[in-house]
Amino acid sequence: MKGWLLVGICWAAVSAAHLQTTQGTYEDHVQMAGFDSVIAPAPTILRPRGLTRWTLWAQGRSGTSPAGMRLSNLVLMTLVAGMTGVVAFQLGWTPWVATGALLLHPLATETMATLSGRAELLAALGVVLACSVVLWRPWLGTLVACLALGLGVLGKETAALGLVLVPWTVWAFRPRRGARLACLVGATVVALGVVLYQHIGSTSLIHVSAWEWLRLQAGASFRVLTIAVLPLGQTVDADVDGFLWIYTVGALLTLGSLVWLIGPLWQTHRWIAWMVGWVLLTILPRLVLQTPKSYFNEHQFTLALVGLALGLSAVVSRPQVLPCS
Amino acid sequence: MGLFLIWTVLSVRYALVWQNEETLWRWAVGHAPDKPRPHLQLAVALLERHQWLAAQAVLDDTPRTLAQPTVPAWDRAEGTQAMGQLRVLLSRMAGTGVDALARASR
Repeated sequence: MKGWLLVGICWAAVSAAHLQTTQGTYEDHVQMAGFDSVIAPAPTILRPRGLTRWTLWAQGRSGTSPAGMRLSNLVLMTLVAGMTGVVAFQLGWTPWVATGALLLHPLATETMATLSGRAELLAALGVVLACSVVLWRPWLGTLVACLALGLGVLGKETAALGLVLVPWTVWAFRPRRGARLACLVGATVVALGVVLYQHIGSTSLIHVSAWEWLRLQAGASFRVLTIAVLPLGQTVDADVDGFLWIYTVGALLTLGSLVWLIGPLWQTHRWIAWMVGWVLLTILPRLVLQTPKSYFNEHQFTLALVGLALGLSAVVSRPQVLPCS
Repeated sequence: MGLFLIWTVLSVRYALVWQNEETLWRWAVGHAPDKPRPHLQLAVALLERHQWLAAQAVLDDTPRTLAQPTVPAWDRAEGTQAMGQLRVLLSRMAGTGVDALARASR
């Protein structure tokens, strides 16, 4: 109870700071200035991000207050964090730690401050909802999970990662027949999606070799990953181009090493292997998908942060729960 | 619990950075002093707030960032174009502002 109280008080303080906004910032500002053009002619929910656009349209009908925009994101974040707490509870871990970690981690700030963050929140909500229902009821849950992931994809395509993340979780903690196969099928679908989407954002003006691009995106991803561990140096627009060559190559090697670590950890510390896998599954597709004018940024870490929050709750619950150790 | 308290302090501090465009891009310039885009975004924010001199100072510093060897060619090309447009905008807006002040004083 004390834990929930602490999370509540801290969350109130963070929310109050967010609501101090006097104008929309970054993408919010631009989007709100041209609100009619953003949503015109009419919102449709039959395409990716349609749900995000629909929420903006619905909100725009009652005015485009910057604080209102921010409040909507805060409510969505509360829902995502609450559902993450439910998943932690289902896994036998400490729910208030999972909820609190997601609400209070400084990396969640950008997510709550931008419209892009709104899309990430809707996608994350779909994924954690899908995870929860599958852990609750295997077969009925799978049907509901498909619906939840579908809604998540209408928030942002990121939710498609749920096709891997949900069976990955089941495989790790509720070993059922077909979980491994579902994970492999999900991974194949996501990999095909990555190949299909990789052309997005390419322009004739920008010439970057595949190696350069991979190196720089690895550097950008690693920057955010280190902020997740030590939340210092956050910024909306980091100078990734100015990163030292050795840092970016080191980042790529570290990410590769983490992939390699999953195997040995799976047998001895499954929850760590699961957490590392969850985070990498959300990051690695970005190394390819990210447009050549945009580096991996903090709000894109939202779904990865869900995995880290759950992992932290597992650490706290360690004496009680250590599956397969 | 201690970790949550530290995170709360850091989150509150960073949430206040997102209060408006000027606070956001001033912070970004502080963290990426050699990158053109934060400078240009800060200049836009200052223009919107009619802070002509501050906007001018930021635009005066932008060529230094555009000349950095780490800036990609496409970024340099777009940044140079944007800087030119902002300079024109600044001269027009500042001119209008000075005219308005002169009219008000009469």
